[in-house]
Amino acid sequence: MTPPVRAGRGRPRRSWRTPLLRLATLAVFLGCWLLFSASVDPLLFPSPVRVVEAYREMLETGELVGAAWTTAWTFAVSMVLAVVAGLALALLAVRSGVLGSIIDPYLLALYATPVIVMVPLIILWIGVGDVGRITLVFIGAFIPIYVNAEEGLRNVRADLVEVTASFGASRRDVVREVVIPGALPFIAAGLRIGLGRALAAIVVAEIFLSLTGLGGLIQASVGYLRVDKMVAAALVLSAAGILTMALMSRLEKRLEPWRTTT
Amino acid sequence: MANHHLTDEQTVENAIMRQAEPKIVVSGVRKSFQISGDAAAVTPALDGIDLTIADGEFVSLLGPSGCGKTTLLRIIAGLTAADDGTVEVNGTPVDGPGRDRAMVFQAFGLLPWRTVAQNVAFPLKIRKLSGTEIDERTDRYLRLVNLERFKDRYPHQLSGGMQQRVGLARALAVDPEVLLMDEPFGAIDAQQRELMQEELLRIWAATGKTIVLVTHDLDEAVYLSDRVVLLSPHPGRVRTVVDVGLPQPRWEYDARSHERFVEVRREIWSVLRKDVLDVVEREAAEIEDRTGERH
Repeated sequence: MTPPVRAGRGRPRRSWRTPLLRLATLAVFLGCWLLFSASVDPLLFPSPVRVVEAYREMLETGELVGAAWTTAWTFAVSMVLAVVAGLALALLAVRSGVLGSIIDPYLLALYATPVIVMVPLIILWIGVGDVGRITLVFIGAFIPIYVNAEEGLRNVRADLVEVTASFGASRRDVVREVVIPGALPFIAAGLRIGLGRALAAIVVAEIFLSLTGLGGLIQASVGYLRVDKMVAAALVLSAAGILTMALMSRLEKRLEPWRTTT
Repeated sequence: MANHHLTDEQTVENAIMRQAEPKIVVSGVRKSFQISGDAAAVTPALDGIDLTIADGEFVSLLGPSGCGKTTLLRIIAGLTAADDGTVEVNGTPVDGPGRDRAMVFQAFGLLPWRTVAQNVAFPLKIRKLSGTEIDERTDRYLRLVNLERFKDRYPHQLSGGMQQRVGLARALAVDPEVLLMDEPFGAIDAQQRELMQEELLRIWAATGKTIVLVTHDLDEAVYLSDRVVLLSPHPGRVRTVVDVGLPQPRWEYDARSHERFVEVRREIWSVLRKDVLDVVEREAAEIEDRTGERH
């Protein structure tokens, strides 16, 4: 019996229209920005040229790199803590059974609360330093990571557990071959939401706790009417956000090749 | 594969050997299921099953839904424990899954995150075979089911029939003495199913495995088996055992049009039909009860 012959997998047709269209839109946008900024007070509405100059100035003084570095390491430390704590707690919750049903309502309530509400409490209880910022970002990222990982670990395919057991798999084999791969898509979704939340939380922390990092740079620039510097710093933050999400997509493809192949 | 043709004489010889060498002995197996939450509502699924299956024999468990045929297979597999009675394979009582048995599942049961080759290799890894042995066996059994070209694909990229051939290769690769198949072709379209049945007969002839197959498809049971065990529901009991006695190899002639096929089919259907009618009536009554309570 010969297997049915599959139609050759055609390479995805490369379309040049979308990138061209995007480039044109960007050019039109920059043009409008340039034209509009010429007709208003440059102090309030800087032209793109001023923004580029602001970059040069901030790179010379080391302001931009310093701020970006502070934001980056705070973000990294908080995310690592959030991932470790989120996954560990999810494992515990799934193993104990009761733990999850006890803590989940509180964590969901915390999740539904905007992080900015936590700012006064963190100032009072933890302080405005590094630890305070890390705490705020951690709270933002930890809960979605935990909730999704827990759901993924609970959503074990019982039929596959049975199949592997029928071939004599041990508990460890089942966890490694069935439970974890099955939970990975959920974990990745939690990570994605956590990253987004952490990015929002870090700006809040840097503006409302201690004026530092890119968030602090944005707030301070507005304070002494340097809107050009503010726009420049904000663009760096957006770029960092886009980059983070792109890296996340990469990671997902590496972790779940079976979901991305057709 | 075609070098294992059995002549009529060999079939007779096999029938004699069958009595000499029992492979699976099921004695007095009982099993009830409790409907969740209601301690009083216990449904007897199997009520005193006795069955002896010979080495190298192909036996089908046939019956309407609710006759407990899958439960019986799962008890033989060691995936479900019997309430009472014993199952022995090679004289050893079954108390869980074992290396002497391998199962083929209705829904294929392939790991979606593993490629075709990795799925076949998985049980071999559990058994801690050497890397070269695993590769060699994976290749051999993928070739046997004609899937070597698809070894690096993921299950979702394959058709249902191809996925079940992976399931079959996976079960055969552990080289079990007994192959347990739970409605293996139920989820496969009709034309592919006939090809798969033919392929299964060839593999059976080539490997000499003992095969126990659960099906609700009368034609499938007659076409494939040496003996058809007809189970009746409520509670599950062995209603009758029919020797098919069609000449082997059955893929070499139009077995489904053979006069013996028609005869056996008619014989089983005359019994089965009544049981199916009972099931239909019972189900109708249950639906009336349930909706009656609600109004």
